[in-house]
Amino acid sequence: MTKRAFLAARRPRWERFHELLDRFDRRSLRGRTAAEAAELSRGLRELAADLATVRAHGWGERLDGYLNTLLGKGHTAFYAAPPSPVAGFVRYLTRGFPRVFRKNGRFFLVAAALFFGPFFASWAAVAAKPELANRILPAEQQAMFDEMYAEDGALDPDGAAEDGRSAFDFGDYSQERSGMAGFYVQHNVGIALKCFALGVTLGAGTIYVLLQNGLFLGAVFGYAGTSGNGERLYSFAVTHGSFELTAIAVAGGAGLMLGDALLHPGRRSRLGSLMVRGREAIQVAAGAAAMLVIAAGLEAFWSPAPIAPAIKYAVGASLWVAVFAWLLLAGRGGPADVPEATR
Amino acid sequence: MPIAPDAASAPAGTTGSGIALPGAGPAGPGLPGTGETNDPFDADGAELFRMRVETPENIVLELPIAGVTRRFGAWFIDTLLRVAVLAAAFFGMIPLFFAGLGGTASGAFLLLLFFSEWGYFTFCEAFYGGRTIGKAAFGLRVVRTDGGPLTFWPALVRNLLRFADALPLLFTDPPHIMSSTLMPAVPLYGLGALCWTLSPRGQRIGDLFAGTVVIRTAPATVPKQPVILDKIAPIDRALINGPKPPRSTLATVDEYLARRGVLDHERGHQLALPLALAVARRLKYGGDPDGVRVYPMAFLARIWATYLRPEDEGEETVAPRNGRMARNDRTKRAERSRPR
Repeated sequence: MTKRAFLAARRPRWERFHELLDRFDRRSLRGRTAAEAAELSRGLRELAADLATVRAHGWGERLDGYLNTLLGKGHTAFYAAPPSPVAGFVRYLTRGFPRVFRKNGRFFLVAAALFFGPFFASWAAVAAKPELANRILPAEQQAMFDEMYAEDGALDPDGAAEDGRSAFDFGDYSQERSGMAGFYVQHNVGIALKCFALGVTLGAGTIYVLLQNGLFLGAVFGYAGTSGNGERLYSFAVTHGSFELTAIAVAGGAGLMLGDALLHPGRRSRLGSLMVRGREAIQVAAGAAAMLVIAAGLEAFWSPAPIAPAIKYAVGASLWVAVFAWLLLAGRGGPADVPEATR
Repeated sequence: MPIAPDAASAPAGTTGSGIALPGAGPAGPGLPGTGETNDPFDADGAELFRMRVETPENIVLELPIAGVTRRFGAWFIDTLLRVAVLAAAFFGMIPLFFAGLGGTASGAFLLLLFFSEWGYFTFCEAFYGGRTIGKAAFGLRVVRTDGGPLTFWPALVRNLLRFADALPLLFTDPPHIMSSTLMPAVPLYGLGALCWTLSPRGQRIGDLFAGTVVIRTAPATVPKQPVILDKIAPIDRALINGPKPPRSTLATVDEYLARRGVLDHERGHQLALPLALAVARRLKYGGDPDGVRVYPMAFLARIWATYLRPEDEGEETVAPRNGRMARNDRTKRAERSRPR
């Protein structure tokens, strides 16, 4: 068969395939008929055979390129990604995330040590020697915290004084809470995701973010305690802290997983190690993000609510237990899922 | 009579390499040959500007890899779009402040900002076939390194690690403990570009961790057949002292002639010259070498008339299923291919 005869015979089929692809592209999965899918499948195999023929005869780069492009389009259309069901998200939170978290628990432990260690150390240090707070908290921030946590500040359960507002002036109380919810999501989840992403610097960036946040938050707690606002801050933070502080360590652990994948590929090639471990790390990081969204809701709407500190401590303590019960127990036993990473 | 020595540099038996064909492959005409051959198994799956994947149909697909420029363009469009939506939302919420809903409005705005920062790329790519709006505008698509479709988790990996790729950040505002919302840092994508340069498949850090590649999706156009006037005569057999050029060389001649129409006269001859000289050298062409050098396009047309026109005409005699004519054709062809 000559090139010209081949072209004459096959070209109508290619054009037909092209049309089919265009139609396939425009319509959603639901709108495609079985007959069309079968035709696409047949066309794809014909096209592969044609491309092999062209390559075997050496009929030129242009024709090769054309068929290659068309086959590439067909390939993406035919081997399309399966739709992601919404139910998958719930299953991920109840099973997938706790499982992958436990599998990589040692990274969480290291990250937790890097975060909670400086946190308690700087808390204790500032509580013991209040002037140390000046080393960590700039004067204007100390003033801001004084205002926020003061008797009539934004965190006072009896409602903030009209003129005692901080920089966030959103109108009445409920309006302010809604505004803060958005802020907490944008700010806190952003920090956790950056902490995770910086893991690609062999973990150095992650370690820095963990240490820095631990020191800073510990100093704030110590400072609030020594300046007489401790009760208001602790009762405010205890509830959402269960999700928020844990999630920072979880995200840090995910970042350390990335660094570890680069440093210790084990029996895999380094690239293979990145792909496999990266897929696990993202599932841990996404869990941390979900935890922080929950924490933002609590922090905005529950933590500042005018409720007696004793109740807040009780609820907070039970949430700490619940968070760790979820991380440590959820998804144990039961059928072995198809690992999320392979889908 | 020696023909210009640079003709020797065009290796016979390869297509496209060494010969500056207009638009031959994504490497572009300006680059030297990449040593690419027709053997699909000669590379380790990763070759400059192209990625090879084997499909379930047992054919090796070549996927062209997206360059930094296109990827920047796509990112720029996406960023303009995100900024436009955010700006519209920002101005849209001003009346809400007067209505006493300022808190809800700014909360919603910050959620939108968060989604635009961390979610836009992921959700576009995961649910729009590996494309964002900017990528679609620039004909780009994210696929897995095995050529498969992008799914949610890899899309999330590559777009959360975007933050690392975007480093260093250019702060338009001094970095502050409360990062400024309205004056965000400008990502310079230094790490991403560096990683793109070092990676054979043009992957940034996020791509490496996600196992993804950004490819170009070119529109598919059927190549034209050359139109050669009947009056162009085949080369006299007496002037041909070498073996018939290999199919791939003839295919290159064929394709060059088919695309001749897009070149002006001077440039056409310029591009045809190395090919014509290489073919002439191989054939040990006994005719006037100056003729080849001055009108290389005409020489290529005669090569086509010598080797490729008989094939085309031979086909017409086979088509009517006339046994005798077909046999005649076969004998004719056997005669032609007999070594001289």
